[in-house]
Amino acid sequence: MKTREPATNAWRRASSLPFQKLDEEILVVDPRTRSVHLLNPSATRIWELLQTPASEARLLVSLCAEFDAPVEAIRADLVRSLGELEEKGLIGRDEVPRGGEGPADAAPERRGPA
Amino acid sequence: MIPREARCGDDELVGIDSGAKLVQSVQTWAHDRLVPLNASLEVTLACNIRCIHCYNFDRDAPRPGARAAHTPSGSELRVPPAPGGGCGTVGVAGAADGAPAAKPELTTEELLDVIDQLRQAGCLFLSLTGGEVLSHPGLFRLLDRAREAHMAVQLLTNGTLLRPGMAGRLATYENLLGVSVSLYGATPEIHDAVTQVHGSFRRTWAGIERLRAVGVVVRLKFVVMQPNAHETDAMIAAAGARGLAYTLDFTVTARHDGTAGSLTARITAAQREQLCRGPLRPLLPRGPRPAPPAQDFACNCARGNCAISATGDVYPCVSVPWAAGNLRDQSFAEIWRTSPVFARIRGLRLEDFGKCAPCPHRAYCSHDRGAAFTATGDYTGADPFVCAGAELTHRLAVESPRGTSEPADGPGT
Repeated sequence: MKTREPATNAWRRASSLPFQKLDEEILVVDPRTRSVHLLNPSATRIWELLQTPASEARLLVSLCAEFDAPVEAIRADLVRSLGELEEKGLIGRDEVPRGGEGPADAAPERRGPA
Repeated sequence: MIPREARCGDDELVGIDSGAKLVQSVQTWAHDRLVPLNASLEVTLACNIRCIHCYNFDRDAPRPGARAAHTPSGSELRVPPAPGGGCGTVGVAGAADGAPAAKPELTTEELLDVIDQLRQAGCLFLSLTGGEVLSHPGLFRLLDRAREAHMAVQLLTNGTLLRPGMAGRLATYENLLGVSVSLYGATPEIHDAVTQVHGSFRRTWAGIERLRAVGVVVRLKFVVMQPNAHETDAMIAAAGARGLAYTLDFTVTARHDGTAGSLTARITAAQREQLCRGPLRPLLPRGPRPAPPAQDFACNCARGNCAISATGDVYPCVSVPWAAGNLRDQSFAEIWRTSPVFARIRGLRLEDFGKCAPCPHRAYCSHDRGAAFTATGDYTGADPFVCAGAELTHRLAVESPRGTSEPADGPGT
């Protein structure tokens, strides 16, 4: 019998919010709060990656593959951006079974410049 | 982004309280990069009321033009047939017997494709309008598609078809900015005289209250005309009493079918001056204004704005029925990129607007291209009604420099 692995948090976009990319930034419109938000390039990339829900670890793997910077610096930027997006109500967290996202949940490895 | 204004009332948004400056800078971004960020999509010409000032076409006359792809469903409002074979209950497009071949409206499937094409081109703010948008049987499919495409939607409606179920269903759309509801009077007598449908005032307010009850943002749209000018302050008070935002406009243009009967509804010069010295005075500028820079004269037409007619014509904005192409013949992207009409508009400079360029009232003018185009057939022309408004606004601004006390609010009549 298969046992369920411990849950982890997957980040997801708040559902169906309108948005549009403007050069390197994304404008997100939130009719619920009657507000608009212009995401900086870091948050923009995270927003794009969250086209499908993903854990922080998976996001980190993706970002490390794209940016030539120390993992810790990327992690710090990711955590800060996730916090800001969550504070604005633009993203939220779902509990998903660990491993549900596939191998990208593994610890990130440094790779060369994107 | 260049921090100057892309001037156009057609990119006004319902339901955004914060970030107005950000939205303005994004509009300027779209203006400068030719991204159709704002699109008005006329989903049908069918309407269940028969406004005397309707810009679509004369709803009291037979019309050998477009034909509705559907019959508005669920309308309980009954319009008496107009003398001479009017449009009956739907007030639309019903070509008289023997009329020339009709140009059919876009089907729901075609409208869905138009939404996809607009999104692909960069449209974020989608206004669904009509006719009466709520009469379209495929409305919720269109809303579903816009939601899937992450577009922000606003509806422009007369509100009369907003039954409880519909209001509640609209409230489920997270991408719905709000609903703009047209109101033509503070009393049933006046409003219903404008719509020519008994009971429309009551139904419009019932619809507004239903939207409010389910948390949908409502903005009232007042068009001030001869029949309702004396109720302007009462209309403003009605909005204020309910905490509703509103826009107020004197603009009544000739119709897109080329008829001009709508113009008889325009306020008179005396009415306008009375209103501007009375209840509207606080809304008008005080003190001299510098003329805006020449490069700011170009509005958002065919730059950040576009409109699609119910029959697929692509316009530079909803107010200017100058067809740049038709979506049954070309893709939106092709029209947007290659249309000679759009190229002409985008290439205009201040000096091309012969009457406007030297005008001393330019800083006080709405530069209404729709009024100019429908009045003169020339996009660079000038509508004397708009010119008179600019002259009055200028005169009042100079009469009452900044810092002078506000006149007491009161009825302008």
